[in-house]
Amino acid sequence: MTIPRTLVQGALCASLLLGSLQVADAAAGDKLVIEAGRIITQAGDDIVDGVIVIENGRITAIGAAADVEKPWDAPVLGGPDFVASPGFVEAHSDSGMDRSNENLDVTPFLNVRDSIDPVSFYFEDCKRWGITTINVQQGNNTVVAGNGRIVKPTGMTVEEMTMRPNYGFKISIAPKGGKSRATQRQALERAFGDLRSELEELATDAQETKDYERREALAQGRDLEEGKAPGRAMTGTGWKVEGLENVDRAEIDEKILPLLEMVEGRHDVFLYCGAPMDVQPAIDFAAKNGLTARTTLVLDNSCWKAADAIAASGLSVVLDSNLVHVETDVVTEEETETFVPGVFAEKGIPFALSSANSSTNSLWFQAAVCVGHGMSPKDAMAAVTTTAAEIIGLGDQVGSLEVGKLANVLLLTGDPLDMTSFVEQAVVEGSVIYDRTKDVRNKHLYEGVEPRGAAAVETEEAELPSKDDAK
Amino acid sequence: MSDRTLFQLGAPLLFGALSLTANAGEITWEVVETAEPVEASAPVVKLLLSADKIYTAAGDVIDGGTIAIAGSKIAAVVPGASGDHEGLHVGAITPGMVDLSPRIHLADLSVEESSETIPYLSTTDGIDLFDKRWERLLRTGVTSVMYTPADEACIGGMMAVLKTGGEPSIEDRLVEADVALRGAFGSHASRGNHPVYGRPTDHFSRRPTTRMGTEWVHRKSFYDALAAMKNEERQFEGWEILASVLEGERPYFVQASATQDIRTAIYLKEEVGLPLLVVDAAAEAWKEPGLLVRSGTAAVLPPHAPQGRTAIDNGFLAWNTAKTLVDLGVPVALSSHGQSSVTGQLGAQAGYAMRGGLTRDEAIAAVTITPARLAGVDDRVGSIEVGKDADLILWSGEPFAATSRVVGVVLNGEVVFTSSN
Amino acid sequence: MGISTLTSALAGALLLAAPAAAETPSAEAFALIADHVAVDGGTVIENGLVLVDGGKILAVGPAADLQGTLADTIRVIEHEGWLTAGIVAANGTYGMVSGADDSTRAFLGDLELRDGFDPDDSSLAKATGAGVTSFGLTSGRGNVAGGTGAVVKTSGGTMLNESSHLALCLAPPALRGNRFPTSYAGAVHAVEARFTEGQGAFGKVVAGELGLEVAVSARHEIRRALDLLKRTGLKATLRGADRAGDFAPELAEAGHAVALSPLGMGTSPWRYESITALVEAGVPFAFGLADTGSGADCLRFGAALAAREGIDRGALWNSLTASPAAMLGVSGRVGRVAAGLDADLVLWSGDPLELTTTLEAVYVDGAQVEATEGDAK
Repeated sequence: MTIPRTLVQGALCASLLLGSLQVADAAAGDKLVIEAGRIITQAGDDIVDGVIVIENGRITAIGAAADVEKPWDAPVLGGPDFVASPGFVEAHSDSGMDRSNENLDVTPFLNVRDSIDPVSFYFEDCKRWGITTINVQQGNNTVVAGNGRIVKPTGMTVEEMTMRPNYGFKISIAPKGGKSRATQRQALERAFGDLRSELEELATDAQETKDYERREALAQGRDLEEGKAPGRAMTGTGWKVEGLENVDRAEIDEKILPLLEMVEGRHDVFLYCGAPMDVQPAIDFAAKNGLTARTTLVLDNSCWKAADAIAASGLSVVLDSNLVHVETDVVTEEETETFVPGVFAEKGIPFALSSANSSTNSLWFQAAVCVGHGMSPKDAMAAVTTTAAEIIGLGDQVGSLEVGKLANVLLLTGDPLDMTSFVEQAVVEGSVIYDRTKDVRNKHLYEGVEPRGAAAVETEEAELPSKDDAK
Repeated sequence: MSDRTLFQLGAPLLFGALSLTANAGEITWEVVETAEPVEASAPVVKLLLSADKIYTAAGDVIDGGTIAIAGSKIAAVVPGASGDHEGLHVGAITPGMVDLSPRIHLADLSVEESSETIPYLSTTDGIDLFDKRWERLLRTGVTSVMYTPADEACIGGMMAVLKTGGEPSIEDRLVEADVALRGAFGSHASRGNHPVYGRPTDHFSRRPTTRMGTEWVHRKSFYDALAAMKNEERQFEGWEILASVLEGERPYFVQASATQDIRTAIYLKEEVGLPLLVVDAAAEAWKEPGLLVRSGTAAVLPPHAPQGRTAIDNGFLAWNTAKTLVDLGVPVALSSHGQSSVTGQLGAQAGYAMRGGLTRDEAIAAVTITPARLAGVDDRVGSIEVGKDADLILWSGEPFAATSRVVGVVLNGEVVFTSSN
Repeated sequence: MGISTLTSALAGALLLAAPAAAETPSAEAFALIADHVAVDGGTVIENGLVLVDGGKILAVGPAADLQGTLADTIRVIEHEGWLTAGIVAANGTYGMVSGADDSTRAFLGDLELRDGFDPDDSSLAKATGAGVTSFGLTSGRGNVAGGTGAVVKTSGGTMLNESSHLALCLAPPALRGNRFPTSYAGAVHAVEARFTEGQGAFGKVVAGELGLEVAVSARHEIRRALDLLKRTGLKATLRGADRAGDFAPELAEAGHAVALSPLGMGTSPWRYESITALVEAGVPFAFGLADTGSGADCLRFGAALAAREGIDRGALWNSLTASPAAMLGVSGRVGRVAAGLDADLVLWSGDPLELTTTLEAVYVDGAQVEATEGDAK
């Protein structure tokens, strides 16, 4: 993703958000005040003894307690012992789905909507660990995957969860299982090549029909009715097929229509690179097909080696949850460790961290590890808030605590990067979606207390392979 | 550091050999001219390290202090000193960590599977010191380990405590041999065994095939040993090792993860009279902590698992397990199971235990002096005290904080690892 | 080769110290004259003569010095190229027609491997065709104690030593799932106990009557074997210890030898580094055939590859001849071109440590063997 894109996208995004605003509408008129001893805004300095005023799901005022007028009729959350922070943004995740990969190579006609499980542990953990916005995309084991979706970790249906439907596509440059890199590239070339020839054929057919009608009219001595073109001309910065304005878009096979929309720059694309060698081809592939302005690279942790190429391309990246890359010298067998986010920070490449949704590897932990490696807390937090929001085109909606943004706020018992801090409450669009005192499973995880009504779990004797079978 | 400071301590130490400078997280090491010793017998300080905080694991935390290293030992710990010497200054220094359950081994080849009781075998005869994982463990600050083979036998062999760095030989790395006897309850010990009928006979056609069978093998072995102690005619290979465990010369270090297995281990301790019992991988010790207290059993906890269920017998480890046990006075050690990743390493485990309620001092003890005591090597390692091995971790900030990292490791007085990023 | 090509005068002075001239050649005696005669890795005689009689080498020296002393009736064979001693493989299982392992038990120390040796097996002729005239007959890797090995010739079935060494293996193939021991610790414990008891072949090793070969692979296996040997106070040849270079000073100090597996094309750089370390530390090393599926000619070609990497040619030639002969305790019989030794000789088209060189004739016990290099393929 390049920076100008956000501007282009603002309008588009706002219109798409209408769907999600329905949730906020349901709470229309609802007000909420959050008080905290310290507010980490990620939009400037921290606020000491601050207040956040929320109306209709959005922040309407934020500042020091002395400067902000609190509505008299609003409930108040928090207090001086709490730290408030923007909800974390997961810029790319393939969790929370039934199965995240599809057997078929090119499946832009699929939609993660049909795979997201609202009651999966993943979303429960997201609440517990303060992740309030999640870009769910299909897994990396694909060629061209189905349509993704930006969700909140709350709601019993996918619709309730949805912030932005039909958002983004995953394309993998690294080989899908069973493919070599060469066949993967061939499959990619073919997907977009087939699209192009299909469109050319349609355009030629339409032109021929048009020419025939003109000749007919001429022969019959009547005026040709110059009606409105049935379609619209192809846009975008990549390759173009002339005469597409003569083709009704409804005539185009819905299985390839999303690909056309991608080439026209109407979808964000997440390009997965599994090795440094994938990076330049990914950049070239994006440029060739006009995807560059809307592309984010999703990287394996070895891809720091291609950081120069990425920096030159101006693309943003989402990093692997394994922040330390270890490489063994083939001759000396010595291991070299590289702290991956450090490389991207140094090159000025916008990067987001991603969690493996492990309770020991969530976004806050990764940001904390970055601080341990010398990054400022604000920069580290940006990689899980503002930068991540920019990457998924929601930079003006979430990621920081500012007037006008959605009220996605965490109330923590301490600094968000402190090992002993807990998310006490999480607010999404003005509604409390998580309260630690009511989190029975958390109590189970922390104190071993069984959830009420749950049957005692007997450890099962695992079915282990017999030793002699293995030999 | 000035000579004055050291003489005030009554330690006629000389400074030479190494100079260290630190700035903004970057560490540079350079050799400077070595000062001539004034007295030949005086220990030559070759390394000075100071920190905002020194967690000695042997008493109070020193706010601002310096450690002087001579040879492979700690020569002095000076409180109050700051970075006014030419040595290195870091956020915090702790003792090198001691991991009693590293589980870095050669799988099936590390444990004799032709018999369920093999106390007479020395587990270190099956070790691979060239395994890269030792070095990775060292980089995370684990400087001593008890070598643990795979748990395929009910009563395994004798275990040793080794350093994680140095020349790849037992001779060079050994801290102490035969510190504990290995055993296992739960499903691992009987894994693969099957009844004699229904399939070709092989050496897995034997008992035990169940948890009760495993317990039977333990009881029989220790009763046989008790008999052998009284009657020479009933002696068998390795009886004297079981006898030494029964006499409390060394602990029985036994894997038991699920509550039922921990219970079995403790009942065995009480029945045959094992003075020293350490339960390894004791994930579910939180369920019946009273049993550990009653029997004086120590626990080594496995690494945290994302949804609580650990790898061994699915034992459920609650985050507050260490806290619960420590509060009751149960000796608790944490372990890494060989993980060196950012989220798996022993320092992270200590951090998770803190998230579960342990104080920083308690967490430090659980990865240093407590495991050193359990393995009987606390005279050499596990705390920062004059005369002990100079095994130290240099931290960028508070130990185990998610925002801190290991910036250096000192092993036997040598800087063996520094990190610059 | 050309390590230190001596002047003929000096070489003559050295080599004619043998009582060659004093003995009277029989009617069957013959002389081989070659452009280069490699006495061993350190000495090459230019235009040298080797006098063979009764299967033994009677005299060696510069042709200019020796030819005049020979009777006119003696047959003289002139060869344009190199003459060397036959290659000695540090180990091999050629001729073990019913297998070199026995799966019934892990410990078979007293088993005599020669009992399973078929001197007429076709693999032996192929080895001869590659210039390999002797080898250490040993067991596979399927037993912890695989038996007592021998030293045999590849042609004629001559046993140079019927009971040369005890063959041990402290590596996975010997640690089978269905018998004791299955683990390193179990194997070490059992082997150590047998050395302590001192019965049978193990006792002979302790008494110094039998050599010891320990098959290993990985570095931790080398380390374990060295620890065991240190505790038992024994010396051994470490077979398959290709990473032995990492332990070179320790090996030199303890007096162990190393039998490497042959080098091949595309071999990893560390193998050459390992050999260099052994050369520098003065550890005796040789190459063996027991752990490779390649033909016997891989010994010479592997050494040629090492020479190509800059490793000392003299040390490499010795590793194919004199060193394994010494390791197997038969240096009084084979491994050098010297008076009194068996006339196991090879005629090469050029320097045998050059890949382009071909084998032209092989003599075993003074008789030309019907084998050409083509047979080795």
